[in-house]
Amino acid sequence: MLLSISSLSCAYDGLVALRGVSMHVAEGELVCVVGRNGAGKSTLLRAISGVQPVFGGSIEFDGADVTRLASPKRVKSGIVQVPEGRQVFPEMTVEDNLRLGGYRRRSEISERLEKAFEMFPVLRERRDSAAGSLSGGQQQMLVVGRALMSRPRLLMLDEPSMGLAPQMVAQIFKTIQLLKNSGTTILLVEQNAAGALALADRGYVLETGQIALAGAGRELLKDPRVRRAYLGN
Amino acid sequence: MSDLLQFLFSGLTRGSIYGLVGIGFALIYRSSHVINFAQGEFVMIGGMVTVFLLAAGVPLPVAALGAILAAALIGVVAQVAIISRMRRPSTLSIIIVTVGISMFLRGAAEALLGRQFFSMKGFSGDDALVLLGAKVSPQSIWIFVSLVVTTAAISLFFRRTILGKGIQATSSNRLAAHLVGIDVPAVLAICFALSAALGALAGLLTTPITLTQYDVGITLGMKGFCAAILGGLANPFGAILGGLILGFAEALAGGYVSSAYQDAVAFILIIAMLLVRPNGLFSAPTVDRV
Ligand SMILES: Nc1ncnc2c1ncn2[C@@H]1O[C@H](COP(=O)(O)OP(=O)(O)OP(=O)(O)O)[C@@H](O)[C@H]1O
Ligand SMILES: [Mg+2]
Repeated sequence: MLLSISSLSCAYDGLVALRGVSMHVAEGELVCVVGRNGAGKSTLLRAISGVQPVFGGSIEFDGADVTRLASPKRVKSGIVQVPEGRQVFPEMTVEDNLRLGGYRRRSEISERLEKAFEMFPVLRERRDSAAGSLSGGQQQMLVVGRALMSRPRLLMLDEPSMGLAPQMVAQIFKTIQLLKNSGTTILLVEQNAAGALALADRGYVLETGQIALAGAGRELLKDPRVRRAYLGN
Repeated sequence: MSDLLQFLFSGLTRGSIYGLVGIGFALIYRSSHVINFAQGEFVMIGGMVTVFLLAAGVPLPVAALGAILAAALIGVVAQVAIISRMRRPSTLSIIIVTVGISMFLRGAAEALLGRQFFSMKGFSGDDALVLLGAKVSPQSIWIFVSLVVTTAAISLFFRRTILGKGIQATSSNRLAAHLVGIDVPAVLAICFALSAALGALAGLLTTPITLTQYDVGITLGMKGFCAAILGGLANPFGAILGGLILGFAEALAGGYVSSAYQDAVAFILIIAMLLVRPNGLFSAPTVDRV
């Protein structure tokens, strides 16, 4: 198992955000976590990245316990997150943003940069522009490209389609599909449950900090509870 | 005419020192949004350690390097042992802590060394050169060249090294910096070390001209702070230009008005600046995140 989480709990100022979450992701899988606003999806990804304190449970990555590991070491071991809200370095150039993605894999930066430009040609055109001047969709490509710079073993995407025009949403989902086909292991958080579950091998439904349902992507799509709560029918 | 030239040389010398101190403020503000009021004390430490190493028979280049490293070390210790351990730091509480560190360092220097002045010889002697009819001390040339070299080095560091970019990234978006694997606490400590080292460099360069004493850091720290404010606080290169502007303004005010008003120039500039262009003279318009 590439990632296995058992009984993970997190809190903000005593306010519990995750209680006893257990889940796993196997090598090459695309696993999706859906849930409403405030369910704890981002908290889960932040805990896996090590930028969120954990008060109970454990996180194992590739057989090693990483629960207490500092975030740079997790990046180095291949856990890379694209956080929600398109967190670019706005004053820095597109190229610098991408290069920084390779901070923990410096020897491969030029080679990976070329790959990122091939994948997102618009980033090559804008390579000298400030990242903050890109459109929302371009910024989303930039942060995905930045994450790929370090050749992640587990790529976590937090609501990559949020706030984008339908055309861009389609392109982002296509990119995720491409990454999956090329063998990248992906943990995807989405509010767009229909799009995400259709793509995913397996899914988890998170409700107020707990796993409410788990199963294959297509099964969850058919589940009446999921349909009622997340798909509006 | 030769009066004016004399004032300009004097302004260049002062301005270069203020600029070097100011870069330190800017680097720390940029990386951690903290104003480090202990910056002036590193100027004092730079001068004092050099003076004492020289007196112990250490050759000048080694003494200077030793002073810079000592200041950098103290800067790292202050950051790692005190500032980074603060729980729920607010801007105000961090400022208070840096003022505390500054008082501690100044007090320690006073207790160890007393209140007397210490001096050392100019790096290339103390005989003034005559340039275009104005007198220039060779130390002034050392100071100006050091500023130019430092500016070039810092610019290369930020533009060409991944660590330099990591520092910019940390100041630009802390969460994203963590998520690309930047060791943010280490970056903050490095910035404190770098700032302290630059302060110490300013201190050991200026000691042959101005002498040093346990409390020189108060005035020089204030001037460096003014330089950084003029330059926009977060911009190291702005701080250099700010320092030069302040240096020229002081020299001209001292020469043509009265040297009694010289120290007031910095305050007047800060107040004028905050009223007219609170973001500094050289700050680019801020980019809003979409
Ligand atoms: N910085 C914070 N301080 C305090 N509480 C927080 C903080 N961040 C999140 N929370 C709370 O923790 C819970 C889980 O938040 P989280 O951001 O993980 O939810 P989410 O599922 O990602 O929601 P969304 O779909 O809106 O992104 C929520 O109740 C939220 O209010
Ligand atoms: Mg979220």
